[in-house]
Amino acid sequence: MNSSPHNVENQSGGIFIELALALSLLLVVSLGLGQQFMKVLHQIDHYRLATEITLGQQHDSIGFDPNSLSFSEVPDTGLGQLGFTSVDRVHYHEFIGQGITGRVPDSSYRVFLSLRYLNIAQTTGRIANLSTLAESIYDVPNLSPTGGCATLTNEIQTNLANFITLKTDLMQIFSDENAPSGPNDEDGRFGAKLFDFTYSGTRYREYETVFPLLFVAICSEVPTLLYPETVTTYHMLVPRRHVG
Amino acid sequence: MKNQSERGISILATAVSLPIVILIVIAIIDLSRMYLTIIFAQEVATFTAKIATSANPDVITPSSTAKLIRSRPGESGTIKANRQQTWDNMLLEGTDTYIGVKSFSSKELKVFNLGYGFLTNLDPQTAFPIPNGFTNVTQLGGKKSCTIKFEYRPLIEAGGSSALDMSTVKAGDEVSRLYTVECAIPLVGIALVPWFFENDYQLISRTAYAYKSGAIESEQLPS
Repeated sequence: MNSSPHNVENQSGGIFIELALALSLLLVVSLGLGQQFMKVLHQIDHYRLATEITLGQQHDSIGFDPNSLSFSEVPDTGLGQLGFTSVDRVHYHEFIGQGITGRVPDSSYRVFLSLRYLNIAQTTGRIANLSTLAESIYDVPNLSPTGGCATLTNEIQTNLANFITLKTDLMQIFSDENAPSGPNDEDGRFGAKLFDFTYSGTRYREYETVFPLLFVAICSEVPTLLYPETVTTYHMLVPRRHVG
Repeated sequence: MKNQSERGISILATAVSLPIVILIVIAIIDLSRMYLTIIFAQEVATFTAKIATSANPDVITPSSTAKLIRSRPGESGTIKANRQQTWDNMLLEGTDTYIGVKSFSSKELKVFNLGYGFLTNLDPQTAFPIPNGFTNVTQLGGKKSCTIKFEYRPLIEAGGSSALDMSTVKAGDEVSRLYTVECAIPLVGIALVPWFFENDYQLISRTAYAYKSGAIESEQLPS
């Protein structure tokens, strides 16, 4: 074994290189962990936004007219008018979009909306067919997305369209395969009830003929020191109330 | 000679690396606590907003805000009085946290009751609300404290929204509320190197919007 002063210097150098490597590794692990934390926080923020949409502003689709004692579609008297709806889809998207732009943590978010309808059989509550509306995806304005959220437009829109197809197809299959066996069987009935009562032994019930579903894609850029990363989440929201 | 040199180098390496490793570990612990508190605050805020949008929360109405105080075991009377002051300031004109009414409605108290109940369920160690005018961890009782509060808001509009002008509100008007959960947490790292920081605690706040979450009652409006 060589015990010259040079060898001791080499050994001490080796130890410091090991130390530097170990610290670098620890730093990378810490940064990676931090990035995962930030990613999850962004996902939580997305779900918070989606929850606030379901808690928040809704357009009523039909209303009860106390004069004629009947349910009917109410006229659209303008965006944001209390108690009125049957707005067209553009108005609905703009209305919900306003809520989102007021609640995003910063304007780097990007949000796509797509309102669809299920057509419901009025007397059985079963899904008659899927949306008859032309498909469209609304890019919420007044936001300034950066990074992947700005460039991945086609990818996000395609994923959202696939998500919509998947969800609505599953509902259709569920409805098709779960036919109610009788008037008191709730299987396969999907719609929102307008009324349900029994009179002289006969059960009367009726459902809204449309069941709106709002599909949302939210994209945000994770602040990071390692590598750029976007978080995109897809949500299907059922409006809380759509009977005025 | 060689052994002594090697031993010296090893000790030196340990002396250099150990504090760094300890600091990194403490930083990770503190950041994790902040991370968990962010999730905690967001969960409580969202839950409270959900409850606020329900027509009639099914819970008793607290007889006073004094029922909605949770102190730390052995906490001084001053800290408890400051916690009560936090409540009082929400209804005291001229304070920073004044919400524009002179009392809480029955529904608002029910929502607070359920919100703080959920908060306690998530973390039984949390005291509430944050004592008014606290400047250091000691005045927090040494542990995490959180406050649930709200301000009245108009319909959300694009480009942000501002507080509702309460002079335009009449009794019976349905209003929206922005619920905020604010938590003050003591941090280990700050306690170790306090001279680098202005405060020895970290404030974390998260919000949730409760659209049309109840009417203003006539007795709430300032005369």
